[in-house]
Amino acid sequence: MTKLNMPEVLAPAGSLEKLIVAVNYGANAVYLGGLKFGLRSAAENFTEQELREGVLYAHEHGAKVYVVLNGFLHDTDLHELVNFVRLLDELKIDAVIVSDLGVVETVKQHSNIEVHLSTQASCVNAYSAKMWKEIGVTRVVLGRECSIAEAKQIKEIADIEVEMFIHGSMCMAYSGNCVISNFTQGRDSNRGGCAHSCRFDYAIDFENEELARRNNYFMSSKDLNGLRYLEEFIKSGIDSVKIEGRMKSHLYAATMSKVYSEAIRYYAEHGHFLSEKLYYWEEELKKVTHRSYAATNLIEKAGADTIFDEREHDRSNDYAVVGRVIDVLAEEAIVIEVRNAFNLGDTLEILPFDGVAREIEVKHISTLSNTELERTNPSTLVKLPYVSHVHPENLIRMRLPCN
Amino acid sequence: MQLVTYAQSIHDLNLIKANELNEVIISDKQLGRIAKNESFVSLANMAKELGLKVVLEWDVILTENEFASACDYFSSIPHDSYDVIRVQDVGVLAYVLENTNKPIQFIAETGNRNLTGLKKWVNLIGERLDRLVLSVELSKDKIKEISSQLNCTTELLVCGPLLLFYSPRKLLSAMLDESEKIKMQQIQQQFLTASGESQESPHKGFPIIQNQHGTFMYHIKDLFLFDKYQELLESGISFARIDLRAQEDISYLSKLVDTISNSQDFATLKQAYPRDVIRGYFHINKTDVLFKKLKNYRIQRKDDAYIGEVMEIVKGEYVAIKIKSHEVSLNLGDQVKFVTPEGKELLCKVHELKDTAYKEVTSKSKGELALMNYMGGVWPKSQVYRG
Repeated sequence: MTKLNMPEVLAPAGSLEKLIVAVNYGANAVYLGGLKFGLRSAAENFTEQELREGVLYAHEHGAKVYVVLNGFLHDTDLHELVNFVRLLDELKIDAVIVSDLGVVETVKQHSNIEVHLSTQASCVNAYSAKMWKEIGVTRVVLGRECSIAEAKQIKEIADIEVEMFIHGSMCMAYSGNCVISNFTQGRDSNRGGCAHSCRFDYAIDFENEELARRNNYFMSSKDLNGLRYLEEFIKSGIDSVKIEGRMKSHLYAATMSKVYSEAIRYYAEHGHFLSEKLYYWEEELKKVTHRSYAATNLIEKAGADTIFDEREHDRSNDYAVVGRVIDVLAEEAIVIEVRNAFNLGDTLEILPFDGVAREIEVKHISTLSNTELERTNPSTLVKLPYVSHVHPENLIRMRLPCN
Repeated sequence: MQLVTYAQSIHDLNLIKANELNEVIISDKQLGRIAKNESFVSLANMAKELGLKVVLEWDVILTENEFASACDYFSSIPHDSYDVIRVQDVGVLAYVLENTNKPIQFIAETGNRNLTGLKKWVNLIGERLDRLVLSVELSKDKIKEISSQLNCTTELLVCGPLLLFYSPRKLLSAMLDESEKIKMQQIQQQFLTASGESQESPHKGFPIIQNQHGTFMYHIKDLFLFDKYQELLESGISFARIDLRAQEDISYLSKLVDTISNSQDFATLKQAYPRDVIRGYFHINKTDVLFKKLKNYRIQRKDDAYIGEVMEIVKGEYVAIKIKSHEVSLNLGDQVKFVTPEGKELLCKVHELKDTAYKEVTSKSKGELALMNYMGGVWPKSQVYRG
């Protein structure tokens, strides 16, 4: 039997902290943005020094770093881009993700960095992939409208690396083909200012009078969840499975990186997913904030059942990070940075970098100066009794109370 | 500057001819995003008989499987029925470069906001390039620069609907219940049209179309630039495109041509336009100026002399700092500067330093947590620099 290449798990890194989380929890690669040129102006993003530290950290842990330059840039942006590209080259990042031909040209003129084509370019067929390859792109991030089977065909015909989204929020429009924010909010969605107008509730009046007026979140898509189809991704030779969400939480970055990397490692070892672990991973994916999940276009064209006709997602199974392990005081205590309040007697779960989450009951809380506490507050540091096999940077989560 | 528009019927063609336009854009339901006519060939033949230059528009975006079917359909169209092919998807561009010898009009309306990229497209398409269709998000100054520097003719939408959103999903029919769907099929409603409004947006009445290619939503107002006629001429645009397909008929074209040729009364022409209008970004595009308000830059670290971030303050006891810098450590005796999330700067000397076990230390470096003497006015997420 031919040995299958396993796809890389590519996780979002909205900040240096999230990069560290994603890499610790198993991501093979991360994508991130500098302070300009990407599509997430509201994300923390990376300063030059943070970039240096992030690339160093990722590379030391065997993970690749891709930097997004996928805004539809204007000429004034390109002038500023040159120095940034030179910096990225010096930092030896692994690739840039680009959607615009002018940016491709600028990167190629001023660096030796590999260029990946962003999903913003809506590359959804083999002819397109072939042309971008001729232009000098080494990987295409396919539009989210492609099925896995189509991605396989595109890879084979165009002979190019193929990356596909496997998890996260979905644009309802062809990426790059939505300018609602530009014309209604004065914020260029394709340069980082998307106002998420597709998530609004709309009153719809049909021209046909036989159809009554109705309210609907008709442009809002359910979230993509491709875990069930991971075997198809692997067998189709998809080079990279991408997780959307640079704006999302630390818990999201950790959970997604952990679940998908564990699942791929399991498949690499066993050659199948015939395991109870699949159910466990699915349950883990439900523990992060998400809209209803759907396979959207992975197997067949996204139909009416992929529209998320709600404002809020179901939070009944949501967990939140209550803290992050800052320090482990040898067999005495663990020091936690509290992000969300918890109380004495609560049950917390420590999320290890690998393996099943461990439940602990909070039996004792104290400040660093050893004052006993009954409850914690966000943005404080507390000590909990020592727990074995806990490491700095482990996240601690708790199920949110149901309303 | 010449005019160009679309035809979807023989009536349209006659009107275009009567108004002495030289060129017409024709598509059909298979290849055009919102084309309503079934067949390209019959209309194209009629246009040819009228002496018009026929532009076949293939602007749908299609994934691999659908793309193959569209290529088959395209192959069945006689090549002599059109003069030029007009494409947007890069895959379609590659296909027509490889499989035809027709001149190409490349629609560079999505993205393509810089001269560097546009020059590259011109080079890639080479001698086959007949025209570059520019983005309506470019300002007149940029259009002028582009027009003067590109060795090809250029085109701009000057009058017509502004497409805001293009999805392959069928979002209007998804709202119908089963009985409504059956009713729609019975009356063979292939085009579903509606208008949408949201309480979360001040804009009311977005026109929405659903057809076999998906769902298209437009701005509530059309783009109209003819009242800036002199500026259009100065911008160097070779062709001004008029898109009247959303209107019942294209008779407005006659008014427009007459105004240009005779009265030059563009204010009256604008008033006669059947929909509300905007000028879009023709004068200036400032859609990135709000970005700086999207986050708090005060908590963004500046790299010089950066030490780390405040994680906790215990009044009267300590300020806990996570050391984040690789190069700069925190030492007993250092002078440090706190920059709070509100932007306030506070200086303080480190005269007490402890670790997480509350033991006294003299220095802390990258990745470690340091507890220094308490300082009032400092908040969590304050950034710490060497003072």
